[in-house]
Amino acid sequence: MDLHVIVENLPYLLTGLQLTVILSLVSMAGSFVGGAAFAMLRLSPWWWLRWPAILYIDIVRTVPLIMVIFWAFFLVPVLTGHATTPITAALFALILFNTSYMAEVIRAGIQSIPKGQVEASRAIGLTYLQAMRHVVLPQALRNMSPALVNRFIALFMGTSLVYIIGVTEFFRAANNVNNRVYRSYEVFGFVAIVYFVCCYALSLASRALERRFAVPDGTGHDARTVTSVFGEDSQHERPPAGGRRRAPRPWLPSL
Amino acid sequence: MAYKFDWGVLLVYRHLLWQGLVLTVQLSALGMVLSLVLGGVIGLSRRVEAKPVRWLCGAYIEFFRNIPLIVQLFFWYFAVGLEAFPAAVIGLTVYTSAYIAEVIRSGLQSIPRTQIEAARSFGMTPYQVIRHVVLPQALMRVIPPLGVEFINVIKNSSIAMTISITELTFQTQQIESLTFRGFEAATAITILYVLLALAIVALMATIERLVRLDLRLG
Repeated sequence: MDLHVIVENLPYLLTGLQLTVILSLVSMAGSFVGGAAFAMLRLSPWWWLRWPAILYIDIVRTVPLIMVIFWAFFLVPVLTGHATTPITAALFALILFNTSYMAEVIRAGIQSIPKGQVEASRAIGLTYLQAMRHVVLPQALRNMSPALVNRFIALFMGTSLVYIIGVTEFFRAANNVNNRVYRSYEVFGFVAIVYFVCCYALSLASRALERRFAVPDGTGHDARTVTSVFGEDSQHERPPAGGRRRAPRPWLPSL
Repeated sequence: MAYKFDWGVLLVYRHLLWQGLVLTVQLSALGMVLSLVLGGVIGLSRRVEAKPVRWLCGAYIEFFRNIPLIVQLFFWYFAVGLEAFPAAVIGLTVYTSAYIAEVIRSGLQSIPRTQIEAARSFGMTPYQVIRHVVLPQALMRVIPPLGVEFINVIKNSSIAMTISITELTFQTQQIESLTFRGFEAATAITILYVLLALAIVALMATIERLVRLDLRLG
């Protein structure tokens, strides 16, 4: 054990970690917008909007993230006609990939709101988009908040893969250090601990949110959410629809 | 778009695609079987009376689930110094088993305590309760999320390319560097991954049918 290596290279590693955080946040924001769009397309009454969305969501979810990263790396130059920087390709890939998962999370969130509420909003004269914006989405967002945090954890861990196209995020930074000093135990042990601390803290937050709102995300695609939601009596612990402790805050950006 | 497609490269390099497919299937199959066993044991151990055992299993799950697979693979390969293939299998197994343990646990948890108490109260032994009450029901609930985890194993096996396993995703890069036809290679390999996922979906549907039949026979 020679922790000196870590201390010496800490500033460099932290710069990498910073890029990891930025990549995760930007692609989370991007895939939130994309996911909301695809969720609405998927719930559309018209098959010619619904089917392409289903096709996209289901195909991307069966493909490894590394493949999507390669896709971005090969596809973006073909589409735009000139080479891209690794960071652009990485962001493109992460957003493309996570959009399909976010679409399912958001769809489940929207579907967790009783249909009657939309019908009531339409009856008092709101347009479909207004009903979404002011009635459905603020509540749906709260219901899906645990699943959103889980998606963020997956995304945060996923950013480590963009190292293969040369983005110097945390994992690649650690690799660079290791290639220089040959201290695999210390370097990768440190990387593992940092990822663990970040992701575990986030998963505790997700669980706290889940206990509070206790609504299944319905996608069945994340073991984390499945566990406690279907816990022994969690259905009975759900607060009644009218008895929320806090009024829904419409902090969603307008769509 | 000034790009001219040349799908012929796929035919020329079909041996690379085949080699990649075989490795991906081998790696995934090993990963699935081993992580099902390991994850099953850990998932069941979370229901054991002894508190230290429960705590240890919980810690195992949280630890391996919250570290990216690529970091774990690098650890087994570079720090521990295993050969590439064993490192990939162990990494994939340990990572996936944490997820599968959670699936198993939630499957067990979905059975109301009252059923177990009722079964015990008319004289079934704990083994009989597990065999005839808990297991048949838990199995049904566990199969769909297990299918998702198995598809994840196939997807995650692609990360083994970073420790020099020449599986499918590696071959994308290989064909790209040999021919500059990354686009065609990526398309072909994406289709192969979709087909593999569909195979898992079909497999799980078959198993689900069999289990349901078993239940009906009692």
